[in-house]
Amino acid sequence: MARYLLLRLVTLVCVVFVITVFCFLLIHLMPGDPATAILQTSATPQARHALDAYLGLNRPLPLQYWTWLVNVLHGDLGTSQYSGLSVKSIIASSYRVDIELVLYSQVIAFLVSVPLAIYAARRDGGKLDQSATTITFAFYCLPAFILILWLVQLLTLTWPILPGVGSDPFPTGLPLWDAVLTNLRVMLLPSAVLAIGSIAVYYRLLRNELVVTLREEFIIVARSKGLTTNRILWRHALRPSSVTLLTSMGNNIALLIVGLFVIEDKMGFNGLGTQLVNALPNKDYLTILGITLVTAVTVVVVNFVIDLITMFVDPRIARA
Amino acid sequence: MPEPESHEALDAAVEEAPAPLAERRDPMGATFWVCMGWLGLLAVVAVFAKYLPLQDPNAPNYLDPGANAGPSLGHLLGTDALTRDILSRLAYGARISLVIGIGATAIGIGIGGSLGMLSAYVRGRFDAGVSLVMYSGLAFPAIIAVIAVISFWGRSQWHVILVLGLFSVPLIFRLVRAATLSCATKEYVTAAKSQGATALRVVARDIFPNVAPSLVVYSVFTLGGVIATEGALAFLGFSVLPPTPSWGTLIYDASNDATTNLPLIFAPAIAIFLTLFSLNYVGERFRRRYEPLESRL
Amino acid sequence: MSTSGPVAGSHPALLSVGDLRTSFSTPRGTLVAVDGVSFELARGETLGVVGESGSGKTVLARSILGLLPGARTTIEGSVRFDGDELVGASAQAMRAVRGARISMVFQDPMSSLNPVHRVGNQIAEALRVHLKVSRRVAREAAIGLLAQVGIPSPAERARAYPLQLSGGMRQRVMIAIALACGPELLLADEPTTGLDVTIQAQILDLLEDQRRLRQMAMILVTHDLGVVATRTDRVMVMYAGRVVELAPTARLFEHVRMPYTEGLLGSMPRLDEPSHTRLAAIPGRPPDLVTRPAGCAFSPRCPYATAQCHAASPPLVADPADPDHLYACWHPIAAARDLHAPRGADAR
Repeated sequence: MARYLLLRLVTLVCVVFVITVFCFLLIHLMPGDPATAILQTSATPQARHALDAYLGLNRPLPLQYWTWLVNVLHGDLGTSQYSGLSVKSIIASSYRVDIELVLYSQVIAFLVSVPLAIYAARRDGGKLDQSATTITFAFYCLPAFILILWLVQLLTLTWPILPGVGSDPFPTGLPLWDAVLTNLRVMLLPSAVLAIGSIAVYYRLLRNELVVTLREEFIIVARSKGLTTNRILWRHALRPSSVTLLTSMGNNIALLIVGLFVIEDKMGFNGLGTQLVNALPNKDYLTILGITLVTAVTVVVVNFVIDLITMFVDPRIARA
Repeated sequence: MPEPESHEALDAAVEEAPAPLAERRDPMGATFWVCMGWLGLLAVVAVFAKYLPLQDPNAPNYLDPGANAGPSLGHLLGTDALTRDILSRLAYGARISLVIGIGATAIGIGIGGSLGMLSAYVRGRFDAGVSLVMYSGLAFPAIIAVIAVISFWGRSQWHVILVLGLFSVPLIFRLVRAATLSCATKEYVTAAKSQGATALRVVARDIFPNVAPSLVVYSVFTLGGVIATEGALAFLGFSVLPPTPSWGTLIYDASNDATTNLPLIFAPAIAIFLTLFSLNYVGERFRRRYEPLESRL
Repeated sequence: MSTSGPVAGSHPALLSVGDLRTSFSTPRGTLVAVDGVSFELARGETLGVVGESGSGKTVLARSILGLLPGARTTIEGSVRFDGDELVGASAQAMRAVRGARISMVFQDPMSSLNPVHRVGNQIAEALRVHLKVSRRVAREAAIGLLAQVGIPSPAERARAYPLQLSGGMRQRVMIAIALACGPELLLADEPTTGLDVTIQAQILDLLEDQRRLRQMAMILVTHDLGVVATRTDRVMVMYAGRVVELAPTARLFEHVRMPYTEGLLGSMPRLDEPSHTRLAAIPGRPPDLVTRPAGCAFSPRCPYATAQCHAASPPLVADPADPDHLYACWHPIAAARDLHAPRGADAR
């Protein structure tokens, strides 16, 4: 079991490494350079050279990468040469929104898809099953960016029951309870929209696995022990059926990022997506690298945590 | 008396009866053909757009009927804020979506599929190395690369196709590799190998035909995903240059300029919805027909 | 209605099955898996139920506990357990009976145990649900049960997952689960099929020991007559969903009445025969349970069938000379079988 974990850990570290190299190469393969972006109109060749030298951009690529890596391992992500702020602080202030959105959306997704899948699978082919499958499928085919538009229009403007675009999910100066409430109210709509795609995927995977599991012998055995239906569904059928769901979660979250950035924009949140969109045209490469690193590490850590959970949920994985 | 349906005993009892059960040949169903119809219509419109009696999607109609005009005989879906005909923009948008979609999917399936099969068959260090790279590709925040490429190399169709295509490779690679792995351990492959067939030959003649149905299914789903992503990108302003219409751009127009122009608000959204629905539904039907033993992926 | 029963009148029967009929609606029609089965079981008695695949023996066991899938199943007739009617009982009533008063041991221990739960917990669960004991008490009791079923180092093993145990051990766990709440009746559905031959005897001995210890009644379902020969008080032979012979075990083997049972006996290999003696298989195949022709279900395969056999189905009657021995045959075998004679010497 320890071996399995160690192997996963090593793989994930390698992945982060590869990603940062990718990103580094990508930035430097792009036409244009930071110096020009900074200097704009006063970008004479001499000025550019000077700035390049100052920023260390005229050294060989591997050396630049190595310097960056070493700095990162010391906790220094560099300073954005465009805005002058430390990359760390830029990221730190924007990261919260994204983390919350992803977290809330997955919580909502689970709260909806798991019970739905369980009760649909119990009578597979029945009314709940058919309608749930159709509805989740239909919602899945309506992309998040369209939904967010319509729902924002509907729920914040036409019938203002939710806070509108530009609300601050992290209000300062409020007592804790109010701040938490505001946070939840502001995040509700975007998280729900983001959750929809996940709900469709998780529901389908879980439902299909459950239908198969419910035909297994040990379910009849559980009934022969006199257990209630609910107990059988939740404590006996759910766990063995969860593996495909968990496996897809990692990938799903990675793909969620696209929708995330769209939603950030449309809800007026100041998250990593917004920062990125600013940093790219300016070739603010340290910020770009920093954001990529943080995103990649997050995805990788999430995957690792999911692996741990999967191991716990289905002991066959690590021990077989 | 609610009890979980468990068919094991029923199956056992039925199996014990020696006469065979009638085979149920699932007809594809009405919905399936409706979806195929929509996709067919889309393809026709995309390919033959120039020859259809459509307005120029970028030509303004300042005087007649003006901006944000409702549906009329000459403009079946009305006009947008810049007085362009919505229907034709929708039609040409279909073309963009399909071209980008099919292009990117082709790259994804071509590269991801062949690498997946090869990697699963050859295994060893090659497999480990390629898998690591692919895993990194999956974890890499693709949107960054897409935005970067689009920002810097220009907003052309081909750039979009290339980037979206490359980023659909890792997922397809993983799926095809898994499908091939379950194939490659089967006995007919061992039999072929024992007869001295080269790797390429085994892959082409024994593995590919068995993985092909899965490839078709993945293609359909990937196409859907690319169209959706392209829509989102266009909406954010990172797809083809205006005034070329993409469905995503139309939605952007609807959200920004003309918040009361109903056809503009709904038409492209419905178009995207129908297309995604059709692709996913058709893909799912194919999968159920040709992949009855779906792997426990 | 059966008139058998070991000692009618002195102890009321523990289980009394009356004209039980279990049918499934399938796309091809109604499949009748159990067709009017009646018998009684006294406390502490072991009944062996024997038959080929398709005879309905497994469906019978599951019907008693009501374990069949709901929508397409119809169960008619009566199953009285200690006076309470189980057919049509409420879900709650059935849950109280299952696992606590009637338990079942299943055939394949690999698929019968939940792969993601530790075996100790699977045993403890039965205790906590029915006896409402605390976690700690249940856990200790589970370890005790594992010891009783002969598993070494029970405290350690309780924390194991099914995949970490061998087939024989898993079946012992299965038995421990079934015995946990001290049931009065144990249904063992092919408990040794699929196990190594060497393990089979151990498991059967274990069942017998526990049965005697706990004064349980047991219904042992199997297709293997050898299993039934020494370990049951009575044997019930089923064919095509019906009882075709029912007798105290020794009597059945001494004097077979129904040709099907004779065929089953004849197809068993015997130690005292020279090797390579051909086994006498019963020709033909079990009947289709959906379309039932008139007449005795076995008649197409019976070497002694007459026109009467094809026309009408024989009722289950008692042997006038031996009221405990029931059979369903128009032409029961007259002569007692000499158990020690070589095969083929049976006279009609």
